Amino acid sequence: MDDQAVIARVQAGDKDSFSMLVERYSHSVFRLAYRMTGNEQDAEEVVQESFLRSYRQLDTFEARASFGTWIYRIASNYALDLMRSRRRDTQWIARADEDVEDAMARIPAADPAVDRVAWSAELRDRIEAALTLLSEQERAAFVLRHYEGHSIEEIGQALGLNGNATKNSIFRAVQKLRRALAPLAGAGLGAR
Amino acid sequence: MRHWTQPEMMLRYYGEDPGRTDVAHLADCEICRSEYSALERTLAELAEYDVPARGDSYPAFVWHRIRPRMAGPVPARRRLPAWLAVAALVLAAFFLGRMGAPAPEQPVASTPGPVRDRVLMVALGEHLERSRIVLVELSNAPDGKAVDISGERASAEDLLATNRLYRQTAAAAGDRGVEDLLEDLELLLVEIAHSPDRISSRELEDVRTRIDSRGVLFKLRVIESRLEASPMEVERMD
Repeated sequence: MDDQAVIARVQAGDKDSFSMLVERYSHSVFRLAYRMTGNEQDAEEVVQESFLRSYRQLDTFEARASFGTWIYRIASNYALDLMRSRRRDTQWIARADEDVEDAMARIPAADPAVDRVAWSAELRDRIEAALTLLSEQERAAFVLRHYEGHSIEEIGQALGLNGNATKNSIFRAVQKLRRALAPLAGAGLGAR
Repeated sequence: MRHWTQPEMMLRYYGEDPGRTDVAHLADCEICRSEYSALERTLAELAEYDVPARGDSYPAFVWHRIRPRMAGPVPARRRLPAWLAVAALVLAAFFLGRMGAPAPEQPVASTPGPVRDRVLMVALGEHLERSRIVLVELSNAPDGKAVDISGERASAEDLLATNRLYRQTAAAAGDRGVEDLLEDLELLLVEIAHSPDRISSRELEDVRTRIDSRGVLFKLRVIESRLEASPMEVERMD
């Protein structure tokens, strides 16, 4: 049964059919949410709230649209809101260029002697630290492009940005990540 | 031959149109080749950023968590077109607003329906326009060490109560699109209203980023144009 048929059944009163959509999309929504928020607890919240919002807004769902695209958009926006509220609460994300330098200094230096497993863990830590340098919008745009493979146009639609703003967000993200990971790029390849 | 810029290289890497066709230059030019290779290496490293695994039972876990919160009737397809939803919102907002307002000189009941509806449309349209102007002024404010936003701050303060009323009414009317827009707008108005009269260029940039990030200006223009186009349709509703 395709997504459209499932949605029709839910709209006809069979709520439990919605579980089929959860079955199909919860893993991918979690991956998106984790990469955007950077932690499992927030990612879980994004997943659950996104499915609930999509259910509650089924009346607005266009029959010709893709449910996958739609729930990704809901999840992206919810994750953005969550990240912003976290920032307001904690003020921990570096927001300006001078803060970027400080944050880069917190990233641990690469150690060429570590073994493969330790290297992977270190790589992960360094990438996670580097991702915190990005603004919420930059991180969302980058994740959707780099990890989820969405086009510039799709990302713009999801985040409410025009084409140039979307490209600029991704470009700023890439620049910051390159600066943060420059000592790392290529350094671990030989060790592996 | 002009070297490739970094944004062009990024677009090329992601398979987007970089706006130039001389791909061979990337291989032939030592500078560009080196730069592009560095970009590829970094982005390849980033591809190794794994996400904590979720088991096969994860969908069932999610379903178990959300199912109890799916109470109430199943959301059915909207029967009203969007413009009718907006009209309903405006009417509801108007009557809610009147409940807390001083008695008018002329009762609404004595006003012909189409005329009243046009007045209501204009009222909401003006609110959205005023809000948009505040955001546009901030977006275009000149940079400086201490930027004076006292005017915009006072306007935001004035607009907050009305915006909250419209948002609550949109929620009650079930118009999530308008509700979401007004919610985004309210967050911005709150932040602006609570800002000092003079802010640093860095803080101003932060405000601009928030304005840009959700496309609020674009959405405001869409709703405004919808309101401008709908009075005749509202007449037919009566």
